[in-house]
Amino acid sequence: MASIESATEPSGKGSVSPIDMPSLRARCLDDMKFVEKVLTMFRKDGPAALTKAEVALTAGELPKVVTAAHTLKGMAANVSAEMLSKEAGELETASKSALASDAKVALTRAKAEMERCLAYMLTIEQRSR
Amino acid sequence: MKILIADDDALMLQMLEHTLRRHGHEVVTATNGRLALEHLHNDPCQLVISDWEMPEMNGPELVKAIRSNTTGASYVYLILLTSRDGTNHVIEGLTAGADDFVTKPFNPTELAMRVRVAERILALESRDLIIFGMAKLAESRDPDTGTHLERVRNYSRVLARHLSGIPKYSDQVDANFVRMIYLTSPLHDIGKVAVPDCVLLKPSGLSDAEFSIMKEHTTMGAATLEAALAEYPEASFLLMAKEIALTHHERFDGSGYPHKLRGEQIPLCGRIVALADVYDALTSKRVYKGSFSHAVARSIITEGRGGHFDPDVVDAFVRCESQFVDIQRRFIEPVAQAA
Repeated sequence: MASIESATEPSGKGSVSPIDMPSLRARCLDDMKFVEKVLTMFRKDGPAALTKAEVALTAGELPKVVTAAHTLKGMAANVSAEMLSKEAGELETASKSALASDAKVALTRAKAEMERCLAYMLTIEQRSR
Repeated sequence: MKILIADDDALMLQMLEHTLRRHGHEVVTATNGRLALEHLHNDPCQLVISDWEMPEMNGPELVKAIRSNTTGASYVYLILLTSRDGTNHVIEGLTAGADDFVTKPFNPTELAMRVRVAERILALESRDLIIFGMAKLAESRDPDTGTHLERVRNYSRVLARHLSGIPKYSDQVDANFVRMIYLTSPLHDIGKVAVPDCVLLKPSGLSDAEFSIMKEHTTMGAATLEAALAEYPEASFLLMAKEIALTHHERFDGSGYPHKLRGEQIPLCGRIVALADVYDALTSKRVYKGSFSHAVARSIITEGRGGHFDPDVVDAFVRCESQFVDIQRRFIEPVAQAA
């Protein structure tokens, strides 16, 4: 809990935190237990949505990519993971326009950003132990 | 208030629910439009917040389904929650029947404010329904009145509008006053509900004792509205309704009832409705009398200037008399059908 409360600064020198904690706290009305709950849900549902998008893209089922990317975009925005939300939005747009190669690029970026988010959440969790 | 939220994203549902509960609302949830519709059917609520993109039934489809349901007793206020933007989507949502939009990710303060707007609008509906219901209840006890309430509220509005243009009343009579007198003047006789039929429906003149009972409709009406006001002090319309019920039989010279108030001791709304009510009684047929022409009624009212009626209100009446005649023609008593 204490680690989440103090997680208000960018995670590394020169880099922006993948999750904007002050924004998330405000969105959770400063209820730190609820912040934890939301991040736990995101850690489970976020990667699942990304996997759905990847599987659908591999199968060439772009409408399913659109749906999964849209879900991920909303979810990421809710936890103030702005860059991930943006990458998911680009994946959604490229898939909607049937631009499979652009979608693959966007997916790669979204996966990388998801990794950053998960690593950031892990850091917070480790700090609290 | 109870709010139904529909979203297929569990995280979004949690965040919406958290925000709304923290603002004191009761929340029920559904994970798609079809389930939301089922829920609404089994357990009605007046505010629905729905996501746009959902499986089975999306937000606009849910909105259309709710709007096409004519069996609901109350208006359902609909907010669409969407990451979409652009005029086309707003038009699509509004065409479906949505009342408002909130963009995702939502700002908790903005969401709370939009819910407040919804509450205000729904409260207006409730207020108008309460007034209408109470007025009709009073009217049902007095079969002669017919379209009396419609005419009195329109006469009162004409007088108030005219007074709003006079510097002496400009501080007191604003647009809200005019709107309020239109809304609440139909409650002037609400206390007649408590008057026994043998008095209320008596075709010939009342004895002194009967007239004393009849006069109590002013205090009975005021007491009823006062009780409602004590429960809902923020419902300002009840205050004007109470003043009208209590004072619309007071006379400017202090010879009226129930408290023999004089001049400006009588609230302005009471002085206005007094004239509107008497004009309508004079120009309408009653169980105990026929109807007078406008000219006769005008003469009786102008004779009462400064006696029965407030001189300023009488002057307003004289200046607006053509509107009185128009209203009288527009809301004419229905002709009784022969058996």
